[in-house]
Amino acid sequence: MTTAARVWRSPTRGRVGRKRGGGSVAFYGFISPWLVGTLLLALFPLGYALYISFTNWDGLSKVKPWAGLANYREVFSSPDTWSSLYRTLLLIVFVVPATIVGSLVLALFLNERVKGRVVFRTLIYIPAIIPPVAAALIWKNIFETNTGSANRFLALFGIRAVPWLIGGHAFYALVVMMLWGLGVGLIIDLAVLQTVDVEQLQAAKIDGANAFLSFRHVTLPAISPVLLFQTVLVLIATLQTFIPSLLLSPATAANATQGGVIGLVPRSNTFYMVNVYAQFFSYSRYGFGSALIVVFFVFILLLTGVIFKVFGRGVYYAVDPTATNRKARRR
Amino acid sequence: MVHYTQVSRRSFLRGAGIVAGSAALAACTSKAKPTAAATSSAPSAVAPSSSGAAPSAVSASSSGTASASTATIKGGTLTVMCPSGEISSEQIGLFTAAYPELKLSLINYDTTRLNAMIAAGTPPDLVRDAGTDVTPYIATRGLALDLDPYFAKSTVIKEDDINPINDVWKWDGKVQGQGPRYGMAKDWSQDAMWWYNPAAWQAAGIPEPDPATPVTYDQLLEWAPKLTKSSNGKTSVYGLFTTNPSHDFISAMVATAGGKILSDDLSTADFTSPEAQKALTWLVNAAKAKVGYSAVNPSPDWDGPQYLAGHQVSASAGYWFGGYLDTNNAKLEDTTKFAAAPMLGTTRVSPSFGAVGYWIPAKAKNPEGSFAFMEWYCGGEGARARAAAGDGLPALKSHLPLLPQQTAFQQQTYQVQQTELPYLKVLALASPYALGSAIDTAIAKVFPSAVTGSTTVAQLGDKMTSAANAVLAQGKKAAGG
Repeated sequence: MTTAARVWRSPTRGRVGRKRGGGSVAFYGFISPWLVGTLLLALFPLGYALYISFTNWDGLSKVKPWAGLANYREVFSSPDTWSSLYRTLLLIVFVVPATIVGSLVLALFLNERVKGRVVFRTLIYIPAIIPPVAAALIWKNIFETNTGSANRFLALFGIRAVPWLIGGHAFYALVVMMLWGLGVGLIIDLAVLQTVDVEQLQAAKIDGANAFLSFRHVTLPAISPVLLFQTVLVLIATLQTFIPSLLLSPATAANATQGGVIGLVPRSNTFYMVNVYAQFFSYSRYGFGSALIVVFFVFILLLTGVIFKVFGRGVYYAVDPTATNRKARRR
Repeated sequence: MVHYTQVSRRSFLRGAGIVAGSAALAACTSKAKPTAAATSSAPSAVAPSSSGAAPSAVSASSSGTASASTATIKGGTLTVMCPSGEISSEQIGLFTAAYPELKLSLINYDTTRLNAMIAAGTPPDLVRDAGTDVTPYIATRGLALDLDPYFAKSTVIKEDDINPINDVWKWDGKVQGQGPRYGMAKDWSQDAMWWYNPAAWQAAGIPEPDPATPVTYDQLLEWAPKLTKSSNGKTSVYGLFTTNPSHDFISAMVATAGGKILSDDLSTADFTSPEAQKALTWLVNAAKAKVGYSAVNPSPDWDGPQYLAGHQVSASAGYWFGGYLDTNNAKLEDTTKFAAAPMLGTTRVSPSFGAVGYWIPAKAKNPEGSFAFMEWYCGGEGARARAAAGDGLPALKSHLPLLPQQTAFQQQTYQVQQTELPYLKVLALASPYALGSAIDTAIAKVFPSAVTGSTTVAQLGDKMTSAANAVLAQGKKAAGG
């Protein structure tokens, strides 16, 4: 089996920098509005968070008592840190593969010339454009123990009502809610599937490849850069899961007295960022909360690096930008 | 001419990952500057009572008179942080008629937003809170304005007319109830009292309790299964009001057995005393019995809407709940009774958890204007209208005769309230080191293990004590203590 895809090794920064300094200026010139804004809006708060993480500030007092490394020691010794991180990683195990594989499988089906595919594409994409609050309300109504349609459906088969939004069940209800919005990935996958070279697919077919082999050796390499990008984005977004957890809990402004808003989030859905929020806004521990997110930032950074290192090797770039550039110059 | 961009997609993606992480970190820590113009939608849910009000009291004050100190008030817009719908558009109209130079902008009460606004140096002009819970905390941190000079100048509120419950808004640095005033109750109630539908008792074949005589918590738990309607894991009607392990609720239970939760210096909590253990046993049993919403079966709302919808046969609330019923479903008044606070032990105590009212942030931009609203809403025309509607007991003694007594329902609630008043006790519920919500969050985290059976009540008491004391100790550190 042959494949037209070939590995393109990116040139080292120093070598290209020497040869093509002008390109570098143009690149940074074009991205500078975004870059300057990001640096101004991210760099100062980042430094401020780092400073706060060394204090015992409660967010309201005028004094910010110096705590040294105490908050960082507590981050690593607190059972809440580890349990919330464990639950976050568990969520990743469920959500990230299901999102990537699920949206790709759906995209492959909807990329075929089948009758009514526009309707199916629209139907599958609609959940992705529903605001998260509305989506959470829909799922809360579905999973409500006493009146929800999930339990009404189970009752048809004589199955006893399940407290979906309470205890360990709440985790699975959350996973279902999060997967409901995989239409975004579907759109990206559909777009990239349409860039796969038809000639290569036909060549593979002539070579005797069946649908699976064509997918494995032609389609998958061609779309692998986008899949890697999607994986990283979904991973980072899932690591930071907070709002879905809060929205699916029984917490409302009206019943926040039942242990505070965070007190109502089931333990199974108390992810890392939920713990961070609780430290900031339930316990007024801005110093410790800042230390938690500084550590998490480093964790995400390292994890992203590992993913690029491990999975980046299997990514194929079908287009050599150097060649494209040369072609453009010749015109 | 097209230039070759030297940044490969791989390195760009790597950079994007870093930036995304940075942005997430920044979003969590930036000092949020709230938009000053952000206001809640015009509140309309809570309209002044249409029945049972004392018309003479309201009309007498509807001329929109303002305090004599009006001349010193700077014009502008006051940002008032309170729950959506609590201040009606009609009340806003009456206030602005009395103070044409002032406008009101209402923003929904949200502690996260309040923290952000204070941190950004742009606090609301008034904040609605429970005096029993927040006074030591906000006063110790210098967040609240000392209102003594304003009360001294007031021509509307006289010192000898202020109901003593307002003393919960005082703090001298050590004792709540002494020192300068930092706020004022808009109204108050004895919040451990409860409401019930007698028809449910009749239908269950249980003798109806005497509303003016306290029942025991054990009695409530004995009745609850008979009043609860469940089938195949679903519950359509709960026989008991929501029971949560909040330190307010536990303190009220424990007080009837002669105990307390917070230490005298307000720096530690103790849930291991025999009285606290008895209260925790009851709470765990109530949650296990699934006869009402609890920490392991949280209510989708508070007791009010659940009672209105018929999902509960009782609700835990003070006198103000009568006004709520009147506003939201007056028909229920025919089938609802108000009852004395239940008892865990033998000492009859009926505390107030709230004395809910307003405080003015120290950095409020127009303190005279803010006090004008406080004066009008808590002691002036706004207060008189609410007292006449039965929306809580008034903050001023002179307003007590305005409480509605026209209908049989109003008479029943008024009589039970009168019987209950002598048992009012202000409990130590607040600490300068932590807000009640922080202690409740810590408690809520450890409570479920006792319901699922992995922890005994004795162990739960230890865990709750450790959790609450950790929060208090952290608060002490943050306060530089």
